[in-house]
Amino acid sequence: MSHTVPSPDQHPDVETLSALVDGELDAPTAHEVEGHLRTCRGCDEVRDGLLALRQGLDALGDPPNEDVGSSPSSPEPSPPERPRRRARRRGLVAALGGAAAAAVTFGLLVGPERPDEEPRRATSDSETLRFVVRDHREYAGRTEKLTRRTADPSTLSRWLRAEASIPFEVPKLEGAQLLGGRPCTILGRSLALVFYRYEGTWLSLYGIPVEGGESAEELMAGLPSGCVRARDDLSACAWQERDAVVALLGARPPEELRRLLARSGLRTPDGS
Amino acid sequence: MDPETFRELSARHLQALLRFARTLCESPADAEDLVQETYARALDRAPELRDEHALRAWLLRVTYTTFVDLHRQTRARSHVVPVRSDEEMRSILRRAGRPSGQEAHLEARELMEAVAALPEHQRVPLWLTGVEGCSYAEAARICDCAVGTIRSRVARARAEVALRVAGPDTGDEDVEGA
Repeated sequence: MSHTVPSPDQHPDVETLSALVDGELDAPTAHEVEGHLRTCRGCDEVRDGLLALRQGLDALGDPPNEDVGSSPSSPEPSPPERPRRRARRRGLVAALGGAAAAAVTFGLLVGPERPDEEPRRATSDSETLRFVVRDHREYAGRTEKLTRRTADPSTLSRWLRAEASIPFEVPKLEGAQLLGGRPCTILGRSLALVFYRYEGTWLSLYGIPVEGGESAEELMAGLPSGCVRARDDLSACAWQERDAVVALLGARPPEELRRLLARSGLRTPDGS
Repeated sequence: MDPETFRELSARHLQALLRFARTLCESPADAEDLVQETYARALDRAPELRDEHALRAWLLRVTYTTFVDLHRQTRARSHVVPVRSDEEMRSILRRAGRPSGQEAHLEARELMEAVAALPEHQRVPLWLTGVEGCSYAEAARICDCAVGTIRSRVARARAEVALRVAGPDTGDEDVEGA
């Protein structure tokens, strides 16, 4: 998607700044707009406002608590079920079966999202994680998005370095099939996006090279430490390599991704 | 997608559908009805779905189209949407970026109420992109409109939410520098 790039004395419009905070601008436009923001306090404040809103909204997708468990149209807590609802819900229980039916029957509608799992820290407060989750959803399963198709990690690593100047060693994940990868830009920085097929699902691995003057710890601040449930069916694992920070996303439980990484000789901060 | 796979995979998205349904419906009870109807329809149409990775966006789309079908007669159509200039939106959003004193972050309840007050055509794109993490392209597919429309509606929705959260202009804005 192309956007109008502002000249140095022009302010980008609100639509453009809104698309910027959503990561929806193409890389050259984002670069230009970010350059303008460094010199324009007014636009930077507009961006701050948009960011504050976006972060607040993002938190609404976290597990319900007293504040967010109710309807936006009806801020009061959900009322007790009415007989009509129970009658209709049986239809849903029958239709879904299994876990979903149990969830509905036992009140997951208004209760904790996944009470039996680890706390989902590093979700709403993680800008980077939010971007990679959305990125994964956009690309998962779409082989046409593979700029370089290869099953060989070394080949892909060489290609990323030569074609996109991204120094990242693509790891081999034991039991997962490397499909290929592409360079991408998230929050204004270039990184490697690598895709694997694993147990019938699509895994996205983000390799973020550590650049001069920054530390891996700074990059990790935007990602979960270890393996966590990222959002709904997606789990995310992040860890540090010598010259990069790596994040893996996929629609598998966090424990399974942790085991996959352990089998591959990769250790997350919470790996055993 | 066969029904058994659908049942297994769709269960993971139940909370997202409920959240979305609650942004659409007047009451939690209506939202639960909507999700039930959505799952019933989706189960019927599951064989049409080839790509399981697209399931979440597909379910959100089924939720929205089901809502439109069920509430075609009762959806509010007289919502007056102020047409704000870019300058006006900038002024509102700048205030939202400067929380005053005790408010270091935007309160969830306040945000929910502000989002609920939006007209549907702004509320839905904002919710899909801001809360459910959909890309603009996904939101456009769900809402059956152009990506540019989503981009515009999200920006305008944010300005309206900011106005409710940050309050009206007090006229003490600084002059912007280039």
